[in-house]
Amino acid sequence: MPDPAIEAGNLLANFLGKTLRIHTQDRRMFVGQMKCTDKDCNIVLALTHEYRMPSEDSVRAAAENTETDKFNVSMPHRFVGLVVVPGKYITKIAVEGIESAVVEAMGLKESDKIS
Amino acid sequence: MPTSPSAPIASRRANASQPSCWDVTAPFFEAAKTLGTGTLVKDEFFTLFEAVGALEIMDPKMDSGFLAPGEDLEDYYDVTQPLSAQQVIGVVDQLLCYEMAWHQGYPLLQTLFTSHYIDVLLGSEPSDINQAVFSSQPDTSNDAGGRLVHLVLRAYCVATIKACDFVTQTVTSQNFFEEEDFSSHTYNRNLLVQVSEDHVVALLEEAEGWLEGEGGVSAIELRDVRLGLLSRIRLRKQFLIALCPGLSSEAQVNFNVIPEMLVGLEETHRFAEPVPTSFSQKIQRHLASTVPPRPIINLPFAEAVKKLSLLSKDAAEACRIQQYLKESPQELRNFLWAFNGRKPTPLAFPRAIPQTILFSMPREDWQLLYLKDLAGLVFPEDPVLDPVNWTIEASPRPGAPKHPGAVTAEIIDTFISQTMEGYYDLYTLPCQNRCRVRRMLRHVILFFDSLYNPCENLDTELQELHKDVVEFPLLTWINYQKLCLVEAMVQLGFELDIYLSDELAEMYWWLSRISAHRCGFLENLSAFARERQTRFLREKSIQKASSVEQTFLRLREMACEARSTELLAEAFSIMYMYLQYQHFIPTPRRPLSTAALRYELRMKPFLTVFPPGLPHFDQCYAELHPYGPYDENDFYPGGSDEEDHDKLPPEALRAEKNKLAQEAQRTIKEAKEQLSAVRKMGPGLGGAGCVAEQWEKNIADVLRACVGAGVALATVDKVVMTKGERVGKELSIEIPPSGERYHDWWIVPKVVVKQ
Repeated sequence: MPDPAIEAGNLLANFLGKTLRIHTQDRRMFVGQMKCTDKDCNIVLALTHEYRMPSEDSVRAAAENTETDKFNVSMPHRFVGLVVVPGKYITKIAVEGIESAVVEAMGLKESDKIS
Repeated sequence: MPTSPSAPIASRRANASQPSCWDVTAPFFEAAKTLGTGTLVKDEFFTLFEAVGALEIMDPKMDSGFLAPGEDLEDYYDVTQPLSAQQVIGVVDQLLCYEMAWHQGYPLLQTLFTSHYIDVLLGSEPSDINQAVFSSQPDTSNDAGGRLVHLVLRAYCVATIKACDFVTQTVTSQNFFEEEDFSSHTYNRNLLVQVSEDHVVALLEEAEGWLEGEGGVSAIELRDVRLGLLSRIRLRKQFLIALCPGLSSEAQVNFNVIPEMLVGLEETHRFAEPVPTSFSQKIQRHLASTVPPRPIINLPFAEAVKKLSLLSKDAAEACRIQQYLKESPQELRNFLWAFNGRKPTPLAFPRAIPQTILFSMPREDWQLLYLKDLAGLVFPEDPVLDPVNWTIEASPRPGAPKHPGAVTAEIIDTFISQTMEGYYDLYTLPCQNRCRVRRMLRHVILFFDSLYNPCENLDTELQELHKDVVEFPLLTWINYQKLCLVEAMVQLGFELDIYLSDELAEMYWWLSRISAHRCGFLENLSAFARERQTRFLREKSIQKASSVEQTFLRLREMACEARSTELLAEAFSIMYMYLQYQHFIPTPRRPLSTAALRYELRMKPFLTVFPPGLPHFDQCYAELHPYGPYDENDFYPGGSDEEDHDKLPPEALRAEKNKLAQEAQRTIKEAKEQLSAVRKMGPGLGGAGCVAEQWEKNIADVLRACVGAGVALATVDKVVMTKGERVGKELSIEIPPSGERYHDWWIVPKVVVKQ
């Protein structure tokens, strides 16, 4: 019987160096390379960009300027570098570009696919 | 949902082979939960040391993107809105406060870059002055509010930015310490580098013209308000012209008039109507996103004016160095040290001025300066430095013996090229901040120390060619400079409160030894100069004789000054020894170290330096403890038990200890006599004519310290004699901190009578 702690460590190690998109409670998203995590799911990201929901004013302005139902609003973003996102504020984690073997190992379903 | 992420993500998505993205929230949390406490899953190249530098998201002190409930990411402020004249004064005065805070060393981010006006001007990255505007739509309206903002305030802001550009250029081109002296970071903003100064001045003049003309008169009701604005624009222009990096010959005059102009600002500051919304701490969110948020630095207006006035006076004084470039090197160095010793210490910008002027001198001038320096100390009217030596051409025949003059010139050239680095340091040193001067001294001392062997060899060669020279002239010169530096380092230690109160006796003892050594050098050299003068007189070379006489007089003055330092340091050493024997300065209990190790640590910068050569700890201990340990915490395990003082009966021993007070008094008296002699000789002789006022004040302060020490000793002695052992109940001793002393280098203890 393999040690579950070691197994969990191996699974998480698959994400090291991968680009994570971490959403936080204040509706920001941090996109950066994962460097480290621990039991409380505090995650250290390197070369991180911070993305923020567009303000209501800019959404309204974009909606007024469009004739169809669809329109694009860019998310204000900036480079923030090396950050640690405390686990308690994380609402969602997404990872870019993991191998299909890992996808299977984790039992991810097609519905978990984002793009 | 309109959530299309922009830039990096969007561009990656366009890529066809883009790997898919998976929501792993649940498995991630699940796996993390299983990890043991303290277990980290981490990249093998990622260290915990790096992790310490990571910004913690959602921590308001670290995360500059953290928004309090209801807070907006940015403050919106319309820079094109019309302002009243009073409001413009308010903004301008606030900008001046921030500018001065920046001069003090705070980053632009926490000062000038908090202004929306400056942010907008720089945001469009203007390459000429017409692009440096608040709005891309030209301001066609001619109403007062518009002109005040788009002409007057804009001119002021543009000139402020240009001034920052000049200051940054000047400071960073010289030796300075980032963040300690000055923050040169511009956060990738171009401080109007390409915009010519003439255009900025023209813009200021346009604003000045409008304020003086009908437009200004009809727009601004109150005459005083208008004049207040005018004086601000004029000051801005004056300051900008003065700061121009070339440092024209008029720079001194330009700086000199600024303190008077500031009066106009102070008088009209009461009209200032602050516009706090035109400044925002949030601007730093996009300028420096990878660091924690930092507070705005608020300097009160009165203080900012005082700072600017001081900065201008210091800068004007610094420009004065131009007059002494052709004078003696001693004069130049005295000037620099006096400049550095100004209180408060000049800011980074004024300190960069003398460096700019000195180091724009061509190398040939530096060589001449160096030769003058050598002539003044070790080669008075000496054939070694005869300019003819440098004109003799080598014989074209190979193997032919070289002319001795040419060889001499070669030796001196080698010496100069080997030591030039240290020689430059003698001039860069006094342009740093006080703490740095002390720390850099150590490195320069080591450099001079490393020259011992090469100089000794050059001297041997030189002495084979010239019989009638000072013994080891080049080495003497190097050693003399080194002694001066060691002396300065110890004295700065007193000034900067480096030494503990129970170390003062030891440090003054060491200072006294160095000065004694220096005095010995000078006495030898002046005796040599005297002899040479007599010879020239005998040979009827009147001109040369009088030149050597000047050198002799100067050397004698310097010897006298060194002797006064030696005596006074000795007196202070005895005084502190006495106070320790009387238990006024108790030795702290230090169970984890020994006196010998502490001595080694304190004297570390001087351990290898020779001469003067640091005495062994045993000797130091014996000289400073003539009557055994001061108290129960002060013991030296290495000392022998059978000392003379142990044989004395306790009463006699106490009487001996009490006699130290008289000994110190006697030595102070001798030092005072020497000092008075130096004072009588005047500042000109030792090359301090350029800073005569400071020189006089310095001597007067040292003399005051002598008197103060004498009084303190007499007070303590009187009580000791009458109260005996119970003296501690009557009196206590305080060591005044730097700045509250008669002289920073001479620490006179304060005697406090207990109630």
